[in-house]
Amino acid sequence: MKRLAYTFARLLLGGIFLTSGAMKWLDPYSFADTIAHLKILPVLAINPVAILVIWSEIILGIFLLSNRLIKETCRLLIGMNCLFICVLAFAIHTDNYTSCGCFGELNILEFGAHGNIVRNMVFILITYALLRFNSANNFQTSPKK
Amino acid sequence: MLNFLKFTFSGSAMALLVGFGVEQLRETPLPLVYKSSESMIETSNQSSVQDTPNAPINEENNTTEAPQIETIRLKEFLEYQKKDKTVIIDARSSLFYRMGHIPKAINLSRKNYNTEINAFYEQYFKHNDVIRIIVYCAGEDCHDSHVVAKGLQSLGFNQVMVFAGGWSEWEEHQKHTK
Repeated sequence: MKRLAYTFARLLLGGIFLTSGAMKWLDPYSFADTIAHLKILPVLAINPVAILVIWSEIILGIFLLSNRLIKETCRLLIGMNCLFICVLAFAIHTDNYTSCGCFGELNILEFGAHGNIVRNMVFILITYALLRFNSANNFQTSPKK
Repeated sequence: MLNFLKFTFSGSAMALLVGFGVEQLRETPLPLVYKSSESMIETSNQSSVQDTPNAPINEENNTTEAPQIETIRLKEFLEYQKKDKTVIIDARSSLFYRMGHIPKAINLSRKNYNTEINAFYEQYFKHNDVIRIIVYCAGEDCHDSHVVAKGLQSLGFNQVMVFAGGWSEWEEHQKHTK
């Protein structure tokens, strides 16, 4: 039962991050615009950060789906989600929030500014549970010796 | 801890390298330095369509600041939709347009605006008396419709509007009316 829950959570989270990265990759200009509207980064850093976020999500999503490097992936995802929460909170505070751009043009899992913070908190909880389950039960696919 | 740091830095480097590498395979790759969509569209307008003989040149835009683009809701959109000489533009990417769009809407995505505006202008606007243009994108949060609407306004079209609810509100409306 635990293994089933672990697999379900891993595939769900992996699917979400892979979709999120892929949707942004379809139109990186739009995601770069979203970052620019937040007015947090200098102009020179906007496009590299956009590329970094898009491809990190794709790569981490693939790691989760393929059940590889789960500990490192989960820790990084927790860090990324914490960062996203801080950015969203800062954008709301400075009144610069226009859109999250989290899933590109796909209108799924978008709940408005405050809702998106709660959504990211849920992601952190699921990722933390994955990390704990993985550490306790070693569900990860290990490379053949 | 050291392993995690190694994973983070090597992963970030890999993401950047792969990302910018893949971008180079696109027709219009994301440049290293950010330039807003609005400014890119403005540059494109200045160098392309306004050079064509029948392009509507908005005298007001040349001298004063362009007027604010009107935002309309579903009720107004449905009224305008029935009227003649109204062009509806879908500013989402062609993939989403193909998956579904508002009837009679034509696709001019923000993403392809620079490369498609000339052909688009020739095809739809040059020989037709267009009175109003309504632009929409994915939904309430998306910004693309405003960017495309501003681009068209700067070409001289005076009655350019944005349907704020966009595709998501239209879909919702369709569900309720079925």
